[in-house]
Amino acid sequence: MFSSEIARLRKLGVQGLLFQALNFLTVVASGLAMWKALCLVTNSESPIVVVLSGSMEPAFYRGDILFLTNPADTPYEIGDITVYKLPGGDIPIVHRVIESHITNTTQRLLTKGDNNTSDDLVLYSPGMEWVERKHVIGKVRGFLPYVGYVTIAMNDFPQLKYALLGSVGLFLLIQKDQS
Amino acid sequence: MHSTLQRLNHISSTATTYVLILLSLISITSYLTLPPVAPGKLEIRDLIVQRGRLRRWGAKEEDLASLRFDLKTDLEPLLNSYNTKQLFLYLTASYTDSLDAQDHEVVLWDRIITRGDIRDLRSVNKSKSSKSKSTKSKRSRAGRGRVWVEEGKNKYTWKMPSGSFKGVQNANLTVYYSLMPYVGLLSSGVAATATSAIHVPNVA
Repeated sequence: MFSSEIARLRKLGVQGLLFQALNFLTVVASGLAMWKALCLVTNSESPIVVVLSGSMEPAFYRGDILFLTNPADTPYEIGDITVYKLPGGDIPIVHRVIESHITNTTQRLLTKGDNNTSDDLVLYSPGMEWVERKHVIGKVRGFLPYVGYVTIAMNDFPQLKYALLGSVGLFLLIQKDQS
Repeated sequence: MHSTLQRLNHISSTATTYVLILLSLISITSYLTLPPVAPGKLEIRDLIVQRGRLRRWGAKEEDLASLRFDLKTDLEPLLNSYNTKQLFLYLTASYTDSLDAQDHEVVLWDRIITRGDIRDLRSVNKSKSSKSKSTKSKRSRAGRGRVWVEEGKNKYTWKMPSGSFKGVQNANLTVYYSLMPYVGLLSSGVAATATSAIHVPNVA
C-alpha cells in the first residue's frame, strides 16, 4: 500500500512537494487573515465566541455561537449582553449588564447571568469591584445555535480531534489517487 | 466516476451552503419584519430610601432604595413573531448624580418570557386554565405576552457606588425588552414608560 504512495511522492519531486506545502500555507494564511480582518472590523479581540456555561439559559446554551462587536466610542448599554475576560483568567464570560456608571474616564459595569441568582461580584478577581471597558471583549449582536458544540466536544474528547484530523488526512490521500 | 466519498462530500457541502443561506434569510427577514410595540404603562407606587447594610461580606452602611410598581404592556406581537425564542423584560432607572456628574443606569427588576410552552402543543389548552399560580404577580389570562404586574417589588437593591443618593434629584424609569431570536440578530426596545420622572427622596 505504502509503496504506491512513495512512488507517487517520487513522481512529484521537490518542486511539486514545495508547491503542495505552499498551497497548504496559503489556505492557513488566508484563514488567519480573514479572522484578523473580522477582528479589525468589529474592534474585538475575538468576534466569535462559543458559549461554555449555562449561566445565560434559557437564552444561550452550551455550544451556541455568538457574534460580537465592540465599537470603540459607544458606551455599553444596560441590558446588553457583554462578553468579558477577567484579568488572569482565560475563559470569556457571557453575562448581561445590570448596572452602568459612567464617570469622566471610564465606564463601570456590574454584570449578572440570567440564570444566576446573584450578580457577578463574587466572580470578579480579588479587589475588583466593576467590569471596565478594558475587560470587555464585545457585545453580543448575533446568535447561531448548536454549531459551537463541535469545539466543545473536541476540547472535552481530544481523541475526537485526532480522529477528525486523521480522517481528513486519509481522505486527501485517497482523493489524490483518483485524480 | 464518482466515489461514495465524493458523493458524500458533495452532498454535505451543498446541504451546509443551503442551510446557511436559509438561516441568513430567516434572520434578515425576521429582523426587518419585527412588529412595532406600543409602549405600555408603568407606574411607580412608593419609593423609599433607607440607610442599611447589604447581606454581603464587608458591606458598609449605605443608602438603599426600594420601590413598588405597576406595569401593564402588550408584547404579544413580539412573541407571535416566528423567530422569537425569548423576551427579557427589565425595569431600569437612569439618573445623573449632580455631586460627581456621573451618569448612572441600573436594572431594578427583570423577567424572562420564553416561548417554550407555546411550542408544546399539549400545554396550549392547559395554560389557559391553570395559569400563573406560582408567580406572585398577576398576569392576564389572554396570553403570556400581555404583561401585567401589580405592586411588583424591585428584584435588585437600588444603591449607589458612592453609598449616597444625596446628589440625585430625579430618576427616569423605563421598562425595556430584549429579544432573543432562535437564530440571527438580537434586538431591543422600549416596553413601557412612566408618565414622568420620579423624585428620589433623601434620607432623613
